[in-house]
Amino acid sequence: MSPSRLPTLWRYSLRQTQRRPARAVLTLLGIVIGVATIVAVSVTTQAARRAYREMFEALTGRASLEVVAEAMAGFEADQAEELAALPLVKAAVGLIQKPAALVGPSGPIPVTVLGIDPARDRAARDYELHQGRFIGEDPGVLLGQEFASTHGIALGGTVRLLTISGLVEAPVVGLLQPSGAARFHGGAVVFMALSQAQRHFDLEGKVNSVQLVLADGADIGQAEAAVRRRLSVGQTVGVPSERGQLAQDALLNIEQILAVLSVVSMVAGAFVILNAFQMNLGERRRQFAILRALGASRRQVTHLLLREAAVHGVAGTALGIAAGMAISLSLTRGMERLLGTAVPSPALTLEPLALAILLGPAMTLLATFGPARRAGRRAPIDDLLGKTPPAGTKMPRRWAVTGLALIAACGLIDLAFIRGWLTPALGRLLLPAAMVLVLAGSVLALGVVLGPLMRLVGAILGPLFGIEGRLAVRQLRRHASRTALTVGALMVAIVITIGPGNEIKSALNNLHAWFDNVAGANFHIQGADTDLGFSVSIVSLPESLGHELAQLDGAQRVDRINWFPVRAGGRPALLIAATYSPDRPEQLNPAQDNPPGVMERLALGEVVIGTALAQSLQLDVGDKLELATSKGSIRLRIAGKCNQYHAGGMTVHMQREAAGKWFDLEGAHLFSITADKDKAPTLESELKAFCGQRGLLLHSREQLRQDMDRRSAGTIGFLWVLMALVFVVASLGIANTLTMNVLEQTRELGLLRAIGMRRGQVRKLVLAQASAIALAGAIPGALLGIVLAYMMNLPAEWLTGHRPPFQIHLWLLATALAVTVCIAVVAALVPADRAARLRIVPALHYE
Amino acid sequence: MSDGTHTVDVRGLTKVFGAGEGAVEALRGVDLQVARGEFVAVMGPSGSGKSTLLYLIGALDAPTAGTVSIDGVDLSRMDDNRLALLRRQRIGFVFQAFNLLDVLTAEENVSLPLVIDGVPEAEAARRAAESLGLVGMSGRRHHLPGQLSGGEQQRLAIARALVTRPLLLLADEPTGNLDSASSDQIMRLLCRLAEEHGQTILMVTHDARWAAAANRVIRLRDGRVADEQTLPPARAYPQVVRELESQL
Repeated sequence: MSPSRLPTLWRYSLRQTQRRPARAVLTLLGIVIGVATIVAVSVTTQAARRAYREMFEALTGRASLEVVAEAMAGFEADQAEELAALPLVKAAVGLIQKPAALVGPSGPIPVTVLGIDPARDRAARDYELHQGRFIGEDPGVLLGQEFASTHGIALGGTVRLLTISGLVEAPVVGLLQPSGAARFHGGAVVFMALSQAQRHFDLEGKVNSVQLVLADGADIGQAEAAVRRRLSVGQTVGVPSERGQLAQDALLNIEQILAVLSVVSMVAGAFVILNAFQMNLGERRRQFAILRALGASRRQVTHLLLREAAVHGVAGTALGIAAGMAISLSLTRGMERLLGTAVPSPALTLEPLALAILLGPAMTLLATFGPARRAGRRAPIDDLLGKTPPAGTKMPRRWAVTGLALIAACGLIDLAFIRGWLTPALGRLLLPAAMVLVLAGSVLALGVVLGPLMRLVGAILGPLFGIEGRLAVRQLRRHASRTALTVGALMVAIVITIGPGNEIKSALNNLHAWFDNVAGANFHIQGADTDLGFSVSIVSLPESLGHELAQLDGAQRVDRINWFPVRAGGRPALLIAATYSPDRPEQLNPAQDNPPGVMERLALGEVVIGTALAQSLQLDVGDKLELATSKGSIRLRIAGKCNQYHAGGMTVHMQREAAGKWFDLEGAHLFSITADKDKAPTLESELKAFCGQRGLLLHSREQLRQDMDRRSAGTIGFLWVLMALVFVVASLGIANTLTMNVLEQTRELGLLRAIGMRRGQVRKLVLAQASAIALAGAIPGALLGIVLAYMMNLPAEWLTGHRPPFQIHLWLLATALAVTVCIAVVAALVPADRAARLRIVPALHYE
Repeated sequence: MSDGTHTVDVRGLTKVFGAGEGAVEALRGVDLQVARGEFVAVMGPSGSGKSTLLYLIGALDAPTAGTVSIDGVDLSRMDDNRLALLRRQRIGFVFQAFNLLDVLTAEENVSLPLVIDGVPEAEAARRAAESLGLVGMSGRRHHLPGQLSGGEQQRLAIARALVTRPLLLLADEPTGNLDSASSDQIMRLLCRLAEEHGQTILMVTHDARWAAAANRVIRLRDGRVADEQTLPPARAYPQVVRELESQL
């Protein structure tokens, strides 16, 4: 419909919007930021969660169930025959799934080796050959065509695979289309004959997975029960995608931070909308009065405004969804680095779409409903006659009461948090709500503290700005409502910087402190980089490497570490089997409240568990932990707890020797080498040569730390960028409000000029106002930011089982405050100049 | 209680602004009746309460005491929605400051009361065109208010006030922001509306020249009716103006 054919009131709204494009853009930006964050976070989180599920689904093809042994240990291959005989099972295919490293010129690439029975595997999986032939019983391997092309491997070429038996060479006999199992782990999969895999992975006559294709119409629950009855000790049957559960648990923490930031962005966005809308209404009061005088009812005026807000809401939501999808592309790449595995491209599913469609217009209408309703209820006569000051001179009492009520509600929720009255699930739900309450409440209740706050600001600025400073503060106090709105915008900008910023910085500090404790050795050797879920990239290295490493000049000590997914207390967890020295308890990053003698008890075969696992299972020191092993279920005493970041703290730590009794450790996953004093450089060059020859991945301690930072950089970077974005938009709101401030004071400024104030003094007056507003926003903003940071710190106990000590980063506070004051002053430069150049007579007649 | 014979029936109208020591009594028990088709001018010095009286009659404000009845209906018995409906359908306003919506064209401004009343857009546009024709503004229908002179803007405001065919036209200093020539045009128009269309008009002015165009002049002083003067009927407006101008 062309604008001229729109109904008159729509045309009015449209032209009114066109008249103030900057304000419309500001409103849209507020919505876009809120919606885009929600969409980006939701879509990326889903993609990350889908990564493991889809990966394992791709791997299992048509199979609905999978039988594995605990810790993916091997079991007799002929068990597949027995399971195939079950009535509900159409086919049972045994195979070996093992991580390995493909050693290429650019270093080891983590891959999954699938040892399949070439004759029977098609019952579970389809293979589309792109080139070459299918594998037989010979040593040839199949690769995905895209993967091979990316890594410069051609048909007929040779691949070098690092396995538990050492380096294995195999010819590439065929290239597969990127479909089915060839998509697993981003295509990083090598197919070889089962017999070959059994040889390379020391599993003669064994498989470590049997995948079951069910008969048509078979009930999966019944089939699972029937299969379970046939299983040996230490075996489990389940849906293949469940194997990614550990990674999903590890994601919880980052998801919580992202979710909180989404909420904060929504609130900040809503406040930007409120700010822009208030300015809009302030400017159009006379127009509404005209409409009322012409017979428009209160409801009609309110509806007109809400319709305008809704149109903005819908447009902002559409843009926000698009922006969110664009952001999610880069956030997904960050998540990919964090997880250490391929994450599927983000897809806009129903959930984020519905969330955006619901929240975008809802946040807009919520932010604008109150002002729109008030605009409709204003007596038209005063606005027609221009009797009312352009902005209210005092804050509506209801605002303050509502604000204080919201803060009190937030306080109650916090109290419930601290006292432990809430379940983790309820707490996770209420935490974002509490943050919204405290943010919204503080802005609304600002009027209560505005008087004393402005007096304080006046005392600070008085000596700096002299008479202009005093006049500026007095002017601001006279227009409390308008001042509160601007101060509120600034306050929100500061809060969203200090709150999440402080917590991100604290989390990084804690992560580094943890790393410094647990990664004490100088060098670390792996087959390939591990993924966050320890599900697809843990390459077993021959034990013998440890002996060879110990012989190197400068190697004081070589520790072997194994880590693999297990079920602890029925939950997925990561078992870390290492040589824990009694003289180095920090290696575990132990919890503060551990009893003495933990390391000694560990040596006796007890376990130390991550605080997140302890929290999840409601277990404490002295309790027994049920651990599923390939030899059956065992119960081990918990000697202590530790604060871990591996697998989100869902860890079980055992002495390697003790673990060897229950699990088939199959070599080592990591060698940590401590260098003799002053021999680290010599050892490093030896290790480089050693690893280069064998296709191993060598990291110095510093490199490992850098790698950790690199992995988290994408996600952390997103958080900082998002905060900066919200801050910038909030700042635009400040510029908008300051401009309106000056506009509304035109007559007063004209009067000051008429009674002899110089242009320079007027400019100074406006700049003093901006500084006063900045300070008035910064002081409560900093305090509230700390409160928000503290609230973000609260649920850490539920996620990680321990609450890291709350830290306040003063440099962050100082930077946020300085930037805020600078932004306010810069934003005031143009309005100040405009004010200084006012022509006195027209200004005196300004309405 | 109104007897229902007057378009406007005001009884004991009092309006106090503020409270306590700072309270200002703008109107102190004003009684006033305006018959259908009558053109009444309200005069008085600044602060005498004439505009307040107009806004109370126009249901834009509520009295502190007393009653206002329009066409026999007591406004104090009406809720805000019914008052809005009354303003929309039965009262037309002309303000000193024109009060046009500057983003809407002349035709859109005029059709606005009808649009608010739910009249279909096409019908509203047709009636707006008629109303613009009545005030001699047909050629300016697509202009924005900012593109019109002060006199034209006020004619536009009158067209808007008339578009609903109101029972009562309230004009608050309609020539207050205009030069003499434009003021003359506006007054000719108002007289023509009263004479030819029988439009009931209540006009506030502080200018005796324009008040002389009315059938009756009410003078307010300190919130009370100080004087009331009925002027000879059937005087054509140009003649009135000429008489007045010769006296100046």
